[in-house]
Amino acid sequence: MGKYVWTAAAGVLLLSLLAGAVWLVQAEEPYAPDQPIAFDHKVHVTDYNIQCFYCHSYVDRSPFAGVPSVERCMGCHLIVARDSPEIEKLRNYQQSGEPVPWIKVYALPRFVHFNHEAHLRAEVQCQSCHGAVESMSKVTRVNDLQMGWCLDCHRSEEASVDCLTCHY
Amino acid sequence: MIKRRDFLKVMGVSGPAALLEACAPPQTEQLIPYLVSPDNIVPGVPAYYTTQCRECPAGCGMLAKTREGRVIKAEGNPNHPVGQGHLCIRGQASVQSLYNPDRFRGPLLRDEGGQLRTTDWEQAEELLTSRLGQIKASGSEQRVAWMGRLLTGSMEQLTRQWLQSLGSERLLFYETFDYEPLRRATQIAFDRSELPSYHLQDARFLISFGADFLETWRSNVELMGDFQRMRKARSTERPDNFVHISQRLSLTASNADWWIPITPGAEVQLALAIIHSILEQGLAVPEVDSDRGWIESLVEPYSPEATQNATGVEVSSVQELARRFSQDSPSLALGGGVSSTGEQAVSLELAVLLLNAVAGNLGKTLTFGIPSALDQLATYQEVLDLIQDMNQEKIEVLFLHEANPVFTLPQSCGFAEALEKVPLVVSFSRLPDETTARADLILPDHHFLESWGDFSPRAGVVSIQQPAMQPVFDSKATGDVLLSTAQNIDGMASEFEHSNYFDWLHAYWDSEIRTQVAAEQSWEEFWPDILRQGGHFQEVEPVTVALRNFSTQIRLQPEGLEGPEDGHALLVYPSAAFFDGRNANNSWLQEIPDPVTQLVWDGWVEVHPESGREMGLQEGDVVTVTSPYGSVTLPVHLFAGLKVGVVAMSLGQGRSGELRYASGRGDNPMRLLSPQAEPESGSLLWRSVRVTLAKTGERHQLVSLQARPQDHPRDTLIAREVQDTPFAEQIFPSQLSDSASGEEHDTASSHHEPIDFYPPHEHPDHQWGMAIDLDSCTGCNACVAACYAENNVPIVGKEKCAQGREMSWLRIERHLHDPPVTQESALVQPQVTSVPALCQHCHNAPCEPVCPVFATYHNPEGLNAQVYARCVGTRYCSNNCPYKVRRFNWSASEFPEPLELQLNPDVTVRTSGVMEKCTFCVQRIQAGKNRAGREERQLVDGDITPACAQTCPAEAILFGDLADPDSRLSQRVADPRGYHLLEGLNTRPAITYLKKLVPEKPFDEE
Repeated sequence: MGKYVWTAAAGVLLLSLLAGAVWLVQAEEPYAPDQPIAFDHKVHVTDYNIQCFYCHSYVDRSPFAGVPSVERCMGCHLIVARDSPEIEKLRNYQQSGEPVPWIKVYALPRFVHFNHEAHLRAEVQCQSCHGAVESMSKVTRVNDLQMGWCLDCHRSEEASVDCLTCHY
Repeated sequence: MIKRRDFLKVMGVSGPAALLEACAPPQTEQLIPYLVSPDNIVPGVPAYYTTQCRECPAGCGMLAKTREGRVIKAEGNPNHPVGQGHLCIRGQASVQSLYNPDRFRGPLLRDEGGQLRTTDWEQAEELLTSRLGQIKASGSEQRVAWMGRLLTGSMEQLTRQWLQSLGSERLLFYETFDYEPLRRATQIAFDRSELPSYHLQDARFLISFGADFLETWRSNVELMGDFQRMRKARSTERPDNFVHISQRLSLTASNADWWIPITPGAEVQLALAIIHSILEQGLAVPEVDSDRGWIESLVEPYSPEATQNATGVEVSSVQELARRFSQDSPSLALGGGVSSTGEQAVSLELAVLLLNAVAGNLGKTLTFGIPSALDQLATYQEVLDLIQDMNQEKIEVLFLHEANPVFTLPQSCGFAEALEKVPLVVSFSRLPDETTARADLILPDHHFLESWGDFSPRAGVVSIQQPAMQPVFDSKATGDVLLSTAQNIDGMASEFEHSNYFDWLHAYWDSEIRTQVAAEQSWEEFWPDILRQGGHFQEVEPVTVALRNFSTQIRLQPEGLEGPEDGHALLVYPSAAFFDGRNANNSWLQEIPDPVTQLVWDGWVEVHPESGREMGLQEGDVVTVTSPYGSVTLPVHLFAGLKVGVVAMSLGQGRSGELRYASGRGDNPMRLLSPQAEPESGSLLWRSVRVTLAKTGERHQLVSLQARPQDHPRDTLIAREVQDTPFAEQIFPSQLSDSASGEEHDTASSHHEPIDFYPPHEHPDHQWGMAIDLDSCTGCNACVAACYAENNVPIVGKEKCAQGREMSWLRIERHLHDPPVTQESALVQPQVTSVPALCQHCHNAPCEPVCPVFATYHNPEGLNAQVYARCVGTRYCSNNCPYKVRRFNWSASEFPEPLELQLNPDVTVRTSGVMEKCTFCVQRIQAGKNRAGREERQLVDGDITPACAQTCPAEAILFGDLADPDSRLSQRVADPRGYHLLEGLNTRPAITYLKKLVPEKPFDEE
């Protein structure tokens, strides 16, 4: 090695920075994974005025808001838009007995215990954290769910900033 | 070759850059909805189902807590009269037996080559129906036999009817531990062949002749609760009111005020001597006046003087026992335990019943007319008769249901060999065991948490058992197997109206129970109430009984033990955790220490240190223990809690087969026992042999979770050099008057007011705390199992336990003290205090200032918080903790499938490198606050109960809000018995311990 050591070091650093830059650029693109069925919130909420709670029905009594059961979807779609290819996918799930394996967009790590019910009691709007879902044709994550972002709101709204509130 | 300097240069520059690569995008996580959402289930909110525990015949009511369709925790059912909201260590560990990774995945058939191969239910049942069909068609009687656990109600009715349809009456309810000598004695003494009911809570003086009622005897949860009520009512002047007479200092004996280590067989004489003394002192109750004649002539040869040599108990002590037993009325004497069932068993029970009679306890603390399910047990003699019939090839099909007789019967009785003569052996066992190793067909039954059922432990209590989840494996309810085979056997289908057990059970409850107890209600009104309550419960009035003259029926010859004269009497006792070995494959129960010896993951033979010295045996020496009937190989544990001349072993280890946690540990003491039945009652002779011990030359490491005196004193909670006074956990009555309530809790020799460096923490809303009553804690370890279940505490195994790396957040420390009261007496003061040790949530926590990343801190509600996400694993906090209650994850926790289904989703599963400890069940605190918020109210006292406090059958642990002056906790901490552990360190714990009240004077001193 000897006389090329600084060259080698600079090379590694440059490559890493390049890789990092690529990653940073990539990370700018919002997280909007493809779902097994192309469910369109804009259609259901803005066009047809279905309330959030109709499908995410546990939000007032559980830490989890919940996603609608296949039965809930079929409640309308037994009749509505029967011929749409997406509804056919839904029907296939129902008939095969397999629930729709949605991809979680707002996924917190396992060591965070988030409680929807408490936030609802505090009159936090769904859109505060989840963004304008009612106008999303494909659910997109509008923030990075970093703890600092949670704390900003907790501080300004004078909610508990005790670690044990969420971490236990 | 790169030079060191060059290497460092490259790494120094490029190293930080490498960290950028570590941030990968998140793994995709799925969000799975229901197909059809169930009506009453809200994901994220637990659903509770009433059911009952079937780990032993006590039949405690249980609430099964489920999340998203999985059972995650077992709690006691507060509405249920047995247990009253509490569960013992076995009940808490039952969730692990549900998810036991070694459970049979489905039915199995033994093929021509003798191998077990998997099959499906259709094939398995077809084999059964074809064989049974032949039997039924041929009309041959009594060719089918059933040996299984105690059944009552609908399952009993079904099984009996099913067998009768096959021409058989051979239905044997077999339990490893029976109470036949007692039942025979009640038949002789009162003409009632039933077990009596005990009312310990009303007793003012208790004598137990070896009945280990805090562990496995009869109904330990209920009796522990009653025992604590009895203890709370005792006077402070004479706080000793419990005397235990046995060969071994069991857990029950450890909780006695006085223990009489007695020669095997001398118990009867002591009982008769006490009766003699009662009569002599003129203390017998008038109710026995008409019987005085025969009683006096019966006990005449057994005066305290005449029996002193045999029993070893001084005359003055016997007289004092007689005096107190009569004057502290009502009192109660309990008969022999399982381990002391020898040739004298019936006589002992008769003597004890008589003792109760002369003291006037009949109808008060001892009542009749409330038959127990245990009255239906088959005797051991009946099992021997079955074995004989098996050998004579009279049995064509043998069914084994929740029974493992190859392991639990004395090997010398030849059950395993007799099985060879039965053409078809069918087992319904869920786990591989010594009996399924010889079975031809295995039809695994559901676990009780997966199936319907009912059980009535005693008259007036009929419990319902509901499935709390879908079956984990491809098992099938035995009731369903019986009914579906009945459908396919010619001539049987018409006799059975229902094709499945669910319908059968409903029909039974409608026609047999509702019509009796709620005839005015319709089924639709009746059934939901039953499910909500957990069964039907009503008080049953006891009946009065008349004492009969049994003087000719009591046999009083010395107890004979087979074996060499210079051998040691062998005591085989039930294991509080494993019971009869059924739970040995439960990893929690292996890792939670034996409450008396604190040993884990092992089997051993207990030898008194004096005997050990004589035989040249040291702790850990492997010996062969030989009786006239067989031998076992076990390591020696030197244990002073034995009558010299006795060696003891627990039944439970020594399992074999594909049981990953149980196999290859210890040995089975049933190899050593005599095959004979006790002639009077037909019971098993548990105490029947003398054994010799021979060194094998090998050594075996026995792992104890509590440091012994020779170990580093810092590992024991109450390190003597730091402690202010000796025996800090105990208090004498005279000291109570010295300490005024309201004063700072201070141990005698202190000293100055504690000086704090920093201003105190503020707790604006709540300040969580606990009070632990050492006078109530029996050391049973139920709380430890509850904590394991609630908080996803991992198991580390024997090797890691030896390194001190066990993960229990809560441990019971067993403190033994030299008796402060010296006496030359046969009555020994056990001086054992069980101290639950858990995170004290100190106000001035030594662990907090030393964490470099602020992962532990004092939260505004008084808890010492541990944030797993911040912890980097320096372990400085654990180093600084004087109570040594912080546990470090040295490796990642493993939960072999399907044990991970039991994990509590409300508690983070910790990775390696992270510190953990008791959190006062913060998840329950949060859930309680959430519930109060939902109901738009403030938290009230009793809203939040940590897992340990909830299950304690002795109600020793109380949790509450110290900031609420009206809470029960605030009242409790003002008790003059209160103190803090290691008070002199000024950690100011949130937990107040209440000292155990111990007698100050020798027993026979006024």
